[in-house]
Amino acid sequence: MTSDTTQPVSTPKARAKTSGFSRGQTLAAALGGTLTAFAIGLAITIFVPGHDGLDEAFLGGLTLAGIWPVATLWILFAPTARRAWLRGLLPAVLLLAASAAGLLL
Amino acid sequence: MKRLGPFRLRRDAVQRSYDIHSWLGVLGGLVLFICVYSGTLALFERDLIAWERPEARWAQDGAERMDLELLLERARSRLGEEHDLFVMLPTEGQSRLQARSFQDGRVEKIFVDPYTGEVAENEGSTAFEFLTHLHTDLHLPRPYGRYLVGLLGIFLMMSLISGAMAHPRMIKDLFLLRWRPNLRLTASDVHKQVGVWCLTFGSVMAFTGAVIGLLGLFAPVMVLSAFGGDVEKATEAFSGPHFEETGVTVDMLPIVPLLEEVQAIRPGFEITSLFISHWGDETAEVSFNLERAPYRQLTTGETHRVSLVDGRTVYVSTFTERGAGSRLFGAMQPVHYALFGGLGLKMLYFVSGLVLSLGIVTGTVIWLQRRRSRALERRDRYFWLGRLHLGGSLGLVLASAVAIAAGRFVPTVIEPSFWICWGLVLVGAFVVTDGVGFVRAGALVTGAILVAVGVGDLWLSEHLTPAARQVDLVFLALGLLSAAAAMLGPRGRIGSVGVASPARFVTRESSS
Repeated sequence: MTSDTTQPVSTPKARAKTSGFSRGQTLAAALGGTLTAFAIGLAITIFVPGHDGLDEAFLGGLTLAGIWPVATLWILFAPTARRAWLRGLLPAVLLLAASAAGLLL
Repeated sequence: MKRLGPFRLRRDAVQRSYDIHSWLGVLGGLVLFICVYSGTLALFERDLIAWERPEARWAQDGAERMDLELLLERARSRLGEEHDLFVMLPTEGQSRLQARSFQDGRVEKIFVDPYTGEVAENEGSTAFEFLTHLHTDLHLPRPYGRYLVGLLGIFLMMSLISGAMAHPRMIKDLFLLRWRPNLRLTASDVHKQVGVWCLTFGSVMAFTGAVIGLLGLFAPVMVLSAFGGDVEKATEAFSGPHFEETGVTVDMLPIVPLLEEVQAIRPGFEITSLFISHWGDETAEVSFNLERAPYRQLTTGETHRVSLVDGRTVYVSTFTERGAGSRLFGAMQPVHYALFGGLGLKMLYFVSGLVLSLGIVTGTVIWLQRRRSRALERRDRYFWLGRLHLGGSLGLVLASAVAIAAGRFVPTVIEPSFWICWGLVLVGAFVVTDGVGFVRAGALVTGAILVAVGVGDLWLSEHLTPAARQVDLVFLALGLLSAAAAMLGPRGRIGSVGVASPARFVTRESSS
């Protein structure tokens, strides 16, 4: 019998423990990933010194597309739903607050 | 704890990556396949206009072209001088001048023959334009289709990253491809090889596609952060000052001398298109779009806006003379659509796109097969899911071939033939009992259609140019390859789930 080399888990019990995602985790990843990516993009456009306004705006946009999948994956890797929400919301809220402060100042 | 693979991940992290990769694939695999496969064909949209419309081929080799000013005047008088006009100048791939007018969100398109001045109207979309729209908008209303495609780029990126992380033997199995033991193992090997070898290409396409598709979502963030929410200021920074029509009528300068003037300023560039706005008004302008010729490089597009009243330059928009962000942004379209590096690069993109599509399909096959052994009680749900993927993927391949044939020989039926064919294959996938046989038959019919297209054009064309002959030969070769793959490809059943009938499945279950 042949086996798939990408499956390191062997017992059904171990599989049940590690595979699949709760609704909370999935929701946290979808929302938190999007929010984190937007927050990072916004922070870059505000805090990275640019050329003429457009340059830093474009950099922010480009970063957003690159960060989005990475942030979502990072949140999905959280072991519990609570941790996932923490990973999804905390950095985003902090960055948005910093960006808001940057805009005001 | 032992760590696995080139990323030195813990065992549970590899398992988690595998789960993420699996669910991403099964939830978005079919839509992703539609987007990737149609995008692979859409690469040749511009190149194949002249092939698809024989009347647009270089029919009068050696004949003298009419004055461009006269051709522009014909286009203006036909489409109405009161409307803004976008004009694509004749090129090697498209021998006729193409003009589009915009009115109340409606676009009207005409072609003007540069030798006779004849105007051809309402020809509709070509098959490749139709497939391009499928790729860019999934034929959904704008901008929602575009956003969805942009999100698919994010989806693909996540899938590639999680797939790479879930494959700890990536380096060790770099050349492992087992054809014989069984079809599922072959699918698994093919999927992994595609993932590894197309990782860079897929990531670049996913990233650039996401940027292009989600531009509408970036824009508010950009306007808010860089211009304090001032939309007008942001627009001005991008495309220069904007003038409203005043209604004051003045004489217009001829366009060709202005074009020659811009061409003289930028000798290494080629003016490929122009946009005429507010014709007859004191705010009238012509925008010349330039691209570097003959090798179109990254971030070289420029737009020169010139007044049609006094000939002064209103604004020059270029990505090259700005910072790194702008230059990167300007490179997104050329990189995504292979608009640099010539036809050779497009062929490389084409092969990579087909391979990536194959990777998506094999991923679904593996997932379905694994489910069978894990969740037998839910077999019916997976049966329908498998059939949906089978019909959706095979249907798109067959329907695209039918649309290309229709585009060349019966242009009026491109859209209905495409949708009907896709629908029939989708229904057929739920009816047939032998899924693998169905795929082989589909590949054979697709090959036969492509061979017929190549032979038909070679045989029937009145104006067979060397370029058109080459395209015919490529279709012939692709058709034969597809037919050969159908005849010689792996045989056997992938498994009960998704490709065999529910009855057969139940029998197996009860007997065990």
